[in-house]
Formats: sequence, structure tokens, C-alpha cells
Amino acid sequence: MQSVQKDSKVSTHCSGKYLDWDKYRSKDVKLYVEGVHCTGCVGLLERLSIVQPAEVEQSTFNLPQSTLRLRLRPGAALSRIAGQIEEWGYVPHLIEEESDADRQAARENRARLIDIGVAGALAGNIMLMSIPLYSGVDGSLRTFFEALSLGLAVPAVFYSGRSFFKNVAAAWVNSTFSIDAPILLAILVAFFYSCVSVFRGTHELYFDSLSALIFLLLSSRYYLARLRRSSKLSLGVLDYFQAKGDRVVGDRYQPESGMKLSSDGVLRFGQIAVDFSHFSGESVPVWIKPGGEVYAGTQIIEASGDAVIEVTAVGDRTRMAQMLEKVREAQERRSDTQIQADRWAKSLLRAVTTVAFASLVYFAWRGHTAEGIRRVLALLIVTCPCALALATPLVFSRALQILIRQGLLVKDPIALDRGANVRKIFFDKTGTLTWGKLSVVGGLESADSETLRLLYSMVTRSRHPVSRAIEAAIVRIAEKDDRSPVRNPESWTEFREMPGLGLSAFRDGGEEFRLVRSEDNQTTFSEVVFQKGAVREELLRVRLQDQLRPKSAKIIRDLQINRYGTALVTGDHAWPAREVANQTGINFVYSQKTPEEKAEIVERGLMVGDGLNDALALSKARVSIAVQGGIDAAIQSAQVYSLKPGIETVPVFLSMSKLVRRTLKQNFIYSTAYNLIGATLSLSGFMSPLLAAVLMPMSATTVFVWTLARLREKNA
Amino acid sequence: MNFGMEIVWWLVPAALAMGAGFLIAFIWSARNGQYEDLETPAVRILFEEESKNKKEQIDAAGRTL
Repeated sequence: MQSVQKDSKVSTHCSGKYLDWDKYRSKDVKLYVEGVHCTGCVGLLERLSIVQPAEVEQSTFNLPQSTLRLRLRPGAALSRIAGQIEEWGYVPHLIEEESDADRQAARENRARLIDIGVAGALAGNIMLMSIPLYSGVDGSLRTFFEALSLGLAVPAVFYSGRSFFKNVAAAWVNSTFSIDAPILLAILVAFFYSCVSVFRGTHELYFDSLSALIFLLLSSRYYLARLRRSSKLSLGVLDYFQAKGDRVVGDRYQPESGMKLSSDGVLRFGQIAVDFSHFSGESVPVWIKPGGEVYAGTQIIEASGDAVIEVTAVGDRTRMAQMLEKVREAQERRSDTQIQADRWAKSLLRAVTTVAFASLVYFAWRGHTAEGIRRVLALLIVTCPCALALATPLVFSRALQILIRQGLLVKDPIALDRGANVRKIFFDKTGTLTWGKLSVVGGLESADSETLRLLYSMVTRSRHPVSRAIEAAIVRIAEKDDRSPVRNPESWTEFREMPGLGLSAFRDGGEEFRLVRSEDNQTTFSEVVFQKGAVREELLRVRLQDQLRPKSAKIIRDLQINRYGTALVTGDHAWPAREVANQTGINFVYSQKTPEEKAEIVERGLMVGDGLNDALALSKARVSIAVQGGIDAAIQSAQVYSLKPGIETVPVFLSMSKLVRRTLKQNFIYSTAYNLIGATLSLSGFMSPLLAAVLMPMSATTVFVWTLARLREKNA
Repeated sequence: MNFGMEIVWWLVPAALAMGAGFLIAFIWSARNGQYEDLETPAVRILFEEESKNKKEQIDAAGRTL
């Protein structure tokens, strides 16, 4: 890193890519910088103000978010700064200033932190004041400490505890029952009863219990909210595709090769080739003519010199942004277990509130009001069901967070519920178990370098998958022994693609070369023939095949060891399906199935397939994972989208579902037992409200810590 | 009432005042955005002492957030 720092000079040459950033006229700029891992990198990026003092006034890096905040001097060219960052070996992305929602969230976060701080300070001091009271001071000192506790308890209840008032009031307006209602009831009863005690001198104070309760509740809720927020944020880099940049709707600009689009648009003039793979799953670049649409998040592979794109949507309005929004919305949906847990928690709450009122009335009637209040307070505090109500969403958000890090985007949390029960797994063949694209398996080894040179200069002119495969194979051969085939490409006088048939090219002297499909296509691979001259003299016969991904067989075997049933479902013919089944050891084969038949077969199992071609089967399956086909298609049909190609992520998902199921069950048993014992002890008078206030968050914390300890990456 | 307890009358308010002081310091630092990024400042201390306006930078980070 040191040497890089010394060598680095102001870069002026490699900034062409970022030229259009210069239109960005803001003084404060935020960049997402890819590839920053270490301390040295941070130091380097924060040196920008020293390396380019004429342009950068300040640069501040935020390591967890990987963002660089720049304050520019007047007249600074952002392209030069970006060029410098790129020269250091990082990839800068321009991102929009924080949205209002982000800023609002940051403000709220601070406000809650302050609330917790205040509540903690008040609770701590009230507890100290209680020590002399418990140890039995009397006289004026007693009055002094009691008055002080009361003074400190007022802000604890009405300032720190205001969120409980708000929640209960909001639920009341919507005529529902807030889970905060019993807590608020306990706090208010404790507070007013203690106030009355102070004035009547009966020494029944609960200020310590209630302030501790408020502080511990606020802290555990803050922690939970933080965890949830971080699991949402980790949709990660995808967010940055939503970058608004500097364009507005109606702008026109000239696209360049390699440019990543940050807005939707329509091509007005010229031609461009676009890589839609991240978007639609289409792996071959698509040529677009004037009038065709392009989307944010896609990349331009090639652009003709006269190409012009008109912007049609930016920021939140782009299709990519709307897709990701849908994923977010879907993640908010609650699974069956979660709904059950909520229902259970709510009915428990109602029961507790009813029992509390009944006991209060009973004790008052019997003339033991003080004792009744003591027991009911303990009951309300100890059974506060936050343990279960809060831990269940935590389990899910933790699981989603871990899965995203492992490359799985879970759209519907219901998939995690059901994944634990799945016994049978159905795999699609093409693109799922195999690479989904042809590669050369034979025919080129024997060729001389002149033939290879001619073939190479021909296939490089075509974008057909077969041409791509042959080109890649020749490059591999050339790298191994002899560079000559890829040097001096033949300059054809005429070249054309014959759709559905092959390629044809003419050499200077009128000699024709053809690359055509083999007539006798009876084998498991496709064959093409390279021919020369009018007599079609055969120079080469190249065999191509869609090969199995290297890990497929091992993963299938592991799944079978774990007693999962495996099956192959494909629309393909029987023999290629058979062959793949033999190679991987899959038990059942369903071949030549229509999409409707596929959907029927997979109904009760887990379907792993292509978001585009298997959309129907994926949407009908009990659990579905799309392993390719782009996010767009996947979120329509599948519950889970794998950012990694191939079936690697399937076992990860399955073991995570089981882990989630087990953790939920343990949490449920624990909190039920805890609440039953706690309620019995409180009502029979063995538990003081203070002990309850301490126990309640301890039980919540136990469940939290337990959940977090269980749900870790290495356990999944 | 024994003699030693007299001191409590001003000791307790003093303790409360000190607590309040720290509470105000905490509120100030939270408002100032010092809890937003807990990782980078720890790393920043390792750089060689070159940029003179480090304090300004940190302030700026707090302000712009």
C-alpha cells in the first residue's frame, strides 16, 4: 500500500469513463467505493485532499458502509477524482445523496439512543436512592430520598416512557390491543401507587422497579430495531444501482462501451449491445435498435458512435428500483409461524390483563389493597411477553441476513417455514445442474494452427452461443501452446450469418468458408462442421455440450445422505436427462414434461430452477429457489432467489430452515415455561415487582442471546 | 440522626449534578453523530500524521450526516 501511495500522481488519462460525472454540480458528493478492505485503503482514500488539493477539500470514508464523502472545491472535476480512485485499484460508484427516509431514520436512531441514555441515568440514580430506603433510614432523610426518587421518576415515566403512551394510544385509535398495554398499565399503577405512598407515608415505593423496567425495555427494543435494520440494509450493493446520478427525465446522453446504466431510457439513435444478465437472466448481450428500452442496473457492452439514449426514469422510478422494492415489501410479509406466535402472545396478554384486574378487585375486596398491588405489579411485569413476541421476528430477520450474506435473497419468509418440512427436491436440468451454455468437448485438438486461425477469425464476428464457445476454446488452446491462431485475423471480404444454419465468409480470392450445423445430429452433443470451398471440403468437426457444473454431483450426494429425495424435472428428451441423472446420481427422472406437467409434479416439494423457463413450476411448488433467470423473473415466481449460480446454495437454505424451526420451538417452550412459573410465583406473593422488573428483561435477553448464538453462519 | 449523615444533604445533590453532567455530555455526543460510525474512527488513528485538518474532517462527518 505504501508504494502505491508514493507512485500515485494526479491522473488525467483514464477518466473518460467518468466524464459525464462532471455534470454533477453539487459541493458534497457521496461515492460507493468497491474493493476497500483494509485500514490502508481508508488512509489512501482520505488522502485525496492532499493528492488533489485543487479539487478536494475534504474526504471522509465510512468503512462499514464503504462510502466516501467528498467536499469539492469550486470548479472541481469529479471525473479526475474518480480516475484517481480507479487508478488506486478501487471502483467508484456515484450515489445519490441520502434520501429523506435515510435521514429520517438516522434522526430517529439518535433520538432513541438519547432516550435510552436518559432512562438509564434516571434508573441508576433511583436505584441508588432506594438503597437507604431499603436499609431503613427514617425521619427527614427518608422524606428527602423519597422526594428525590419521585422527582427522578416523573421524567422516567413521562419522558423516557412516552413511546409506550404513544403505542397504546395509536392502538386504541385503531381499536386494537397493543402489546404495550399491560406494560403501560403496570408502569402507571406502580407510579401512582408510589406517589400516594410518598404523601401518605406508607413507604410502598416502586420507582426503582418501574424505571428499571422502562430502561431495559427501551434498550432491548433499540437493539432489536438495529438488528432488523441491518438485515434490510444488506440487500447491499444492489441498492446502489438505484443511484440517481445527475440525470433527469428527458435528458439525452451518448452511451459508451462498458457503461453501467443508472437510469431507465429509450434508445433514440444508433445501436447498442446490452448485457441484461443481472436483470432478466439473458446471458447473451442483446442488440437494441432505436425505440428499444434500456434499464438501470444493466451494462452496455458495445455502443455505436452515434448512439443516443433518452432518460425515461430515474431513482425510485426505475424498474430495478421497483423490483427491489417488491423484494423488500415481500420480506415484510410474515410467515405462518410468526402469525401464530403473535396470536399466542396476544391471547396471553389478554389473559394476563384479565387475571390482573380480577386479582386486584379480589384483594381490594378482601381489604389487602397494598399486597394486591404488589402481586399484580409483579405479575404484569414478569409476564410481559416480549420474550416471544420480539424473539420470533428476530429469528427471521437474523436468518434472512445470514442467507443474504451466503447469496440467497429470500423474498417470502414463508419459504423458511416450509423448507424445514420438505422431503423431496426437484431440479431443473439446463442452467441449474449444468452450465446452461455450450462448451466445446472435442474436435479442436487435432486441428492445425492455420485452420484454427481461419475458424477463429470467423467466430469472433458472431455473437451466437456456438461461436462464443468455439472462440473461448480456441483462445484456451492458443494460451497453452501457440499464440498464432488468435493473431492476424483474416480480413473477410464478405461475412454473413445464416439464421438457424451457421456462418459463411469469403476470402479475398472468392474462396468460401462455412461453419454449419452437422446433418447427422444423433448424439448427446451438438456438432458443427467447418467447411472450405464450393465442394464443402470438411476441415473440422467440433462437438459441443452443455456440461455439468463441477459441484452438482457432490451436492446431490450430500442431499441424499441427509435423506432428501432428489428428482430431475426437464422438458428435454429422455436420453440427455438420463445422462445427467446418471452423472449426478439423482434418483428420479421426469423428462419431456410440459411446464404444466412440471408444475403438477413439483407441487409438494422444493423446486430448484430457472426463474424464466420454470416460472410456472416455481410458483406452484411448495418451496421454490430460482438459481438464475435474473431477479426480475425470480421475484415474480420464486420465493427465494440465489445470487450464486448452480445449486450450491440449496443445502445452505435447507439447513437454515431447519435451524430456524428448531430455534423457534426452543424459544416457544422456554418462554411458555418462564411465563407460567413467573405468573404463579407473582400471584402467590413470592416475587417482588423489582425482582420481576429485573427478571423480565433477563428472560428477553436470554432468548435474544440464545437466538443469536444459534443463528450463526457456521451453524447454517 | 447521627452526625455522619448530615453530609448526605449536599453529597446526594452533588452526585446527581455530576450524573447530569455526564448525561448532558452523552446527549451532546449522540446529537453530534458520534455513534453513527463506530469503526472508521478507530482505524483513522493508525494513519500517519499528514492531514492537518483531521478534526475538521471528523466534525464535517458529523455535520453532514
